[in-house]
Amino acid sequence: MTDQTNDGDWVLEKSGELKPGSSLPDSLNLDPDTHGPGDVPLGINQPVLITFNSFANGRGFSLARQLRERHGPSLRIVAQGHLLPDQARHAFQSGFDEILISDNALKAYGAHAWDTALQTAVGALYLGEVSGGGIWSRRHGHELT
Amino acid sequence: MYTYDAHDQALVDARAHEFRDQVARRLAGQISEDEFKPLRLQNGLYLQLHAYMLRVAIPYGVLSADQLRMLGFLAERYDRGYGHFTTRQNIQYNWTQLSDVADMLDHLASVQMHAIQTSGNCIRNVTTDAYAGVAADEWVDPRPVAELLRQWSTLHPEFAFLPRKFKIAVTGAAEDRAAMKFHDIGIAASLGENGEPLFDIWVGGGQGRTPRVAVLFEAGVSLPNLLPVLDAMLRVYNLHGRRDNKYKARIKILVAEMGLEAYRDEVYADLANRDGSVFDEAPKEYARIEAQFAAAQQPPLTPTNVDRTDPAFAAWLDENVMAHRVEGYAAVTISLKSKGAIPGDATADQMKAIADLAERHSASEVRVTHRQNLVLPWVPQDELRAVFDALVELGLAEANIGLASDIIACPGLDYCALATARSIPVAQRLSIELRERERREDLRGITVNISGCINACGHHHAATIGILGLNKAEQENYQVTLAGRADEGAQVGSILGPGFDAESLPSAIHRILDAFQALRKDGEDLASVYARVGKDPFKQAAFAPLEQAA
Repeated sequence: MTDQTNDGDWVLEKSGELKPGSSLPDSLNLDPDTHGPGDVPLGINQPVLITFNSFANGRGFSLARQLRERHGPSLRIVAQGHLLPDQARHAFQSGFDEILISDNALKAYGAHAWDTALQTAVGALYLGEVSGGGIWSRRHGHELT
Repeated sequence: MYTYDAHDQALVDARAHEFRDQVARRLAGQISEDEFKPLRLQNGLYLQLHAYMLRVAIPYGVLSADQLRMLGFLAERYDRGYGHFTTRQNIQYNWTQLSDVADMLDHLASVQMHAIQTSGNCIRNVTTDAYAGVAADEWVDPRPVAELLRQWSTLHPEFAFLPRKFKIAVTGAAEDRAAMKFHDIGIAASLGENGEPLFDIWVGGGQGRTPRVAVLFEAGVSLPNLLPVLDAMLRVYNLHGRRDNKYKARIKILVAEMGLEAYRDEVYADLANRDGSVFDEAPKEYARIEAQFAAAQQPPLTPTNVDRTDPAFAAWLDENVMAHRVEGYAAVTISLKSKGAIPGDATADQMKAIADLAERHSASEVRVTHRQNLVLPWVPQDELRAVFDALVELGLAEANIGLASDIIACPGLDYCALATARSIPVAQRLSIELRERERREDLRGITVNISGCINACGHHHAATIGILGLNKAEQENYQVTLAGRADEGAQVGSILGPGFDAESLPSAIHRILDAFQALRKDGEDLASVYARVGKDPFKQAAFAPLEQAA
């Protein structure tokens, strides 16, 4: 675990909006292969940055979900590293707030790939996110807003 | 049957649309094949030896007549006129074109079907007893919980990039007809004292190069606790499962290395730290699903005395027709194991004809079995003769369900990029020879399963006679295992000894059967004989002539 800046050049928000990125100089950086939710103190004010070393390694999704469950909506959780555009859905539905995307990744996949992938991704799942929602809630009349 | 509402339909439509976009980006070169691979795999698309193979999900093996008719249409339009039903109750098309797949998914979505999570390192299609809801020995209909699990696991954002694939099976009857204990998670449903469903959760079963029978994780889990526990079990696996070696990445290895108690502690520690309110609606959803299945149950009929004077019809009744829990009905298993046939294969015409039969004689419903056959689950007893006559016309009236010639086989080296030997020709030859033999002697309870490589898709570890095809010095070589079981007394078969070449394998199988018949007492099955006498008599029988010749 280190406190360091990241190399994100762009930020993808949950809405699908892609903005020029800003570094997170004060972030708490986590490697999901070695860190767990216990490494993030309760009440922390820093953003937490989780790095995906490989798109095939989904540990970061579970770590984000654990953090969201334990810290609630106030904790800012940011993803960076090797993520495919198609994994933006998984990231946001697992509890991430933002994804940092490098210039190289943006060029490799195409500038619109992230937004397109997010917009074409299946948004309504059966089980809701930590904040609520989901098909089951809608079916049984307990939709949270 | 479970019928989609607008939410289910919207999800499947959206997934088909999403995959169309992913294929377009791949074809445009915007994503590499390496990056496309996990995306296509999560939609059931493999690149095999000759072409792309599309595996279509048949959730818990239940099909409507219209759905089966669609599967036949796809075989005709997009494949070479046939499909292959698998041990996990799915169907595979072996000759699909990448450019056709999105259209195939749209066709499937039009009949409430999809290919979601039929491959890839995610939670796969949930399987169950093909006779669910109709079996006389059933305690709890497993289909509602299987559908609940389908919904929970579908596109679950946390569990789409697991260390390895993850398979779940559910049973609810005295006899395990779903190989439940050979799954990453197996769930056995029973009824509690007040009539509520309870679930025993088993973990760490599997086959492949490290076969394991699942161990009991927790007994008697209540419905409200079921999904929270399963979700935590998957999370601990996702966080701690090995990713350094794909052959050690399944949950069976994690549980073995961590120890069951430590694994369980991690699961309950995770549960203690979560807000489980996202699962609050699960019992209501279960009740909604259960009501749909209950409404589809057929009313009792007056029982019929079926005329058994025709010996062929009587033999078919004995082997392929199962007692039903509802008066006046029978469950008919259609063998896809005719003499010399490819196990599990059905032509487009056969699929369409069986769909017609289901409409006329089985409440428009068909099931797919773990042993790669089809079931008409709701045949009125007085219509059994008509069904038999129709199946004779179709060449599908082989009376061999549960006999030795009812062989399980994977596609093997004829199709599969992972295979090391062919399975299909071995199965075809054995089916001819064993069918002849079982006309003369009782080979009930003998299961012959053939895998074309160590990955064990043909479930050879779980057969009384298992056959594993290997490549030995560039020659196909077949290792035999004995006394495996897939049922409630699940056990891994024992390796008999060195392998056989393709030519000498069938005679070795016959000698093993000769030894079994000579050794068995009072109708014992092969596993019981093996447990009593051990390996040596079988080994001697199988290898003695070869050693003498050498």
